[in-house]
Amino acid sequence: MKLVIGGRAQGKCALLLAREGLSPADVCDGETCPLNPPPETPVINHVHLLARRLLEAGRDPVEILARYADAHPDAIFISDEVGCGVVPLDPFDRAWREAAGRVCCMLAEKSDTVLRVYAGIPAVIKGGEA
Amino acid sequence: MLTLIIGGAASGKSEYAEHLAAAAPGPRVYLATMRRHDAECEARIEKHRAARAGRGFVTCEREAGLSGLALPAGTRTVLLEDLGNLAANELYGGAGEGAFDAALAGIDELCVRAARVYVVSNEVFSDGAPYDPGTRRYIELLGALNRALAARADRVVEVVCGIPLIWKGGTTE
Repeated sequence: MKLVIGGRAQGKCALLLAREGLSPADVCDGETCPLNPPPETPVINHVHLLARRLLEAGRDPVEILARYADAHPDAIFISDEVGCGVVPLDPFDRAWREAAGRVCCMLAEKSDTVLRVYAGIPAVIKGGEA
Repeated sequence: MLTLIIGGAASGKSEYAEHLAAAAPGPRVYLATMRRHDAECEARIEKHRAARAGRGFVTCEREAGLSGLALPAGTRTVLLEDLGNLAANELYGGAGEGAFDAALAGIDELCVRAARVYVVSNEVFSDGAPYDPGTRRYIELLGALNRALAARADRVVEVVCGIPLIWKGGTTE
């Protein structure tokens, strides 16, 4: 299992596809995909938005995505880092930021490799496979 | 020895800091700086309290004004959580304009009195939002405090998704 994180528009998905020899058809978009369960694609992109939609639907994103990850040990997850700002005024935004962060901690724990992408350049922050 | 641990919201920084501090010599003090002002804060405080239960910390609560804080006799390790709350409490309800000096002096004092000090701080700098002057002042204050403590610290660690990234000081111990 792999997790790719980084800021918005850092080239996370393009980099991942190139590294893994995958195509856009292998990617499910967490912003628009079916919620329960997410599709059986090799890559789930926009995990932070999937977490937000799950939360909006009254579901626990950590629990659902942990179950998905356990059932798909070769899955690759891509998420924006969303926790590096001032505490949001809106309670739902605070809950989402918390859930998105916890989902990423959980996925990082389960992953063999965690990449952090900055300006299209990957830093391996977990696992040896560069 | 001072260790600064910085991370975004829900990055796993607290768990990491508590893990480090729990392995340091006792007696250990958990210095909590969050103001109890609503149910959400209370829930967060309870969550942290449950997470460190059984890890051998005496909890001290102090929202601001760390100088002159009475620590239990013989305290060897202090875990301060977190600098983001301390900075806000000093700026908006404590030392005001003197927030930077007050917070820094308080932490310097802790470092004299305890052999190991762990400070958890917050990454609030990267959302690019156009904040009002008051919030901007807070962001500048916390950034300045992070820089001042990082300059003093033996170790500086950024925590991302629960993974420690070392910026200064070699090992994660």
